[in-house]
Amino acid sequence: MRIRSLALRHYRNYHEQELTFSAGKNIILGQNGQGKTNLLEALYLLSHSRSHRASLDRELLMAGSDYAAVSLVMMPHGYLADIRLDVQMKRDTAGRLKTVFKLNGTPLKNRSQLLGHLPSVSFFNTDLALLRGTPSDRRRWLDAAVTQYDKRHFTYVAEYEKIRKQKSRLLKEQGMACTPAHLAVWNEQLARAGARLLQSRLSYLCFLYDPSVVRYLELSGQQEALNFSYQSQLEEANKAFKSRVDIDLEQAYMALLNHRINEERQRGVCLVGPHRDDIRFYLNGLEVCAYGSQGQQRTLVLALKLTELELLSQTSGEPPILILDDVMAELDPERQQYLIDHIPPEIQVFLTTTHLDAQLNPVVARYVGEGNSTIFKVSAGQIQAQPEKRCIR
Amino acid sequence: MVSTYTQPLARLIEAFQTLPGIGPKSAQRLAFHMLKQSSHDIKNFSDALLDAKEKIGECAQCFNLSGQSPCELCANPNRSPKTIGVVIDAQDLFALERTGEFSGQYHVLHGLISPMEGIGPEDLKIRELLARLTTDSEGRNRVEEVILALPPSIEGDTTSLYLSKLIKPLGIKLTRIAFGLPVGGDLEYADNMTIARALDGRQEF
Repeated sequence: MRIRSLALRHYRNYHEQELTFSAGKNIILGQNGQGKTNLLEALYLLSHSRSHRASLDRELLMAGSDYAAVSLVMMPHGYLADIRLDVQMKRDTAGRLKTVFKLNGTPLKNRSQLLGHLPSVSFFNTDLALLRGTPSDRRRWLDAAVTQYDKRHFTYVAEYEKIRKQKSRLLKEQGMACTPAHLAVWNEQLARAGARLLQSRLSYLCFLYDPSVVRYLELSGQQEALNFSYQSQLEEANKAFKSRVDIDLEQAYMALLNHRINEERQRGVCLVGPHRDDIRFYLNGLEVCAYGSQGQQRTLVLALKLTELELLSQTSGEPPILILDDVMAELDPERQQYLIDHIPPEIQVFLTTTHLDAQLNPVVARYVGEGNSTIFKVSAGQIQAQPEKRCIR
Repeated sequence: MVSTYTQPLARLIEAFQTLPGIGPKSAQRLAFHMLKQSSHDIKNFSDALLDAKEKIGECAQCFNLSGQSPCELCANPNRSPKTIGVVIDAQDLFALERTGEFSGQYHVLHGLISPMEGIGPEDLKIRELLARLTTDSEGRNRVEEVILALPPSIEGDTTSLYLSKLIKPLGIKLTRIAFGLPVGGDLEYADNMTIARALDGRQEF
């Protein structure tokens, strides 16, 4: 996929901005707080249908504005015609914000229909929550990654969440008073949707495991061995994930739900299901979130992202775009160089940095100097492009 | 904002605004339209509202809205009591009725199981449905099939599942209406969930 141009209106700190991108490297250069990440966020929004950091769409509007719009023109690999993606957010008379996504000018019925059109892999600082954050952060990362790979996953998550919320409300409001027959039907629904969600997560992880272990070994100069485990409440699933065993997860969930039904009624909360799962990462046998250094954590996230990039390119036939927000910070020059060496040339890259000084930031400066790049200088919501440097062969 | 309307007009506009789907602008248009009508027409209109409210109640058998009990549908001798179509509300009942394809009787649940909205099985007309399945007015059970005409949503699925657990043990045939592509629709434009469900519910041809 190659993004040709992007237009922002009243989006975050951009009043009106139009940009034409290079097919290769797009370097977003600017001081802190000027709007570099906002620009990348707009790309992420049109890829994932959600912002990577704002939980509410209204945070995306320029302060004091009633509407915001982002539109993007891209050229898919092997197609002759361009594709246009739009998102328009507007407040109605009652003050409610309405968000509409459009594909080639046609409004989409819901967000999930946008998925898959602009495949992307991104690295934001918030991705470090994958290691430092809570289990729910790790599940969110996993679900977002699986969705890029298989967009049915989006509906699996949405459906499971709806059922879980209904069941939670039932337990919270009625607790011991709720009838076993009523709870049983929600459990049956939860087991079915939960099994499907878990299966989808496991088959992705199964696919991700080997390549990411190899990737990390290389990134660390053959020094550190990565290992990770998925922690489900179903013992069978934990064993199955590295070796692809077919087990009846639905039945396993049903058995566990029945086993803990009284505990759930007593405590008034949903105790069983994939919403309680976690992923643990280990380097040389030590848990990363407890023992890993900042650089190691960053390297690990990077290894996972590079593997996602590789898997997505292979399976979708459409090279994803790569979004890298301030990725070089905390990485030593060897790891920086590894990253740059492992970005395939057909991938369009969007990279932010605070400086391009050859002494302060030699790896990035050399990378940009190699050509096929455009530098965008960002200052207080204004972006100026510097002419494209073509690679002379 | 201070209202620029005289008090009775403001009250009328507000009254229209309480209706579903009516915003401030539509309410204003309706109110001005009403003021242009003759007093006789308005009297007719308000009588129709009150009359409907006073006379329409629920059928004691199927819980459809009706001016009589049993309702016109339950009392109709041409409608087979062997089949019962289970629907959420009177609107869905009329949607089925418009097709002219269903000649059985109905049972209106008055909602779907949804703890988020505070609706549990005991709030629906489920006990009454079961009573109809076990006996009729002559003390015999004449129902041969129950058709669940509930929507393909989480709540619709859950309610169907709940009913199936109660009805299947009675040995009565239980079916659910099919889900899939709209007639005259294009496969290409249907969303994935719809196609997946249509594929699931495929029939031998």
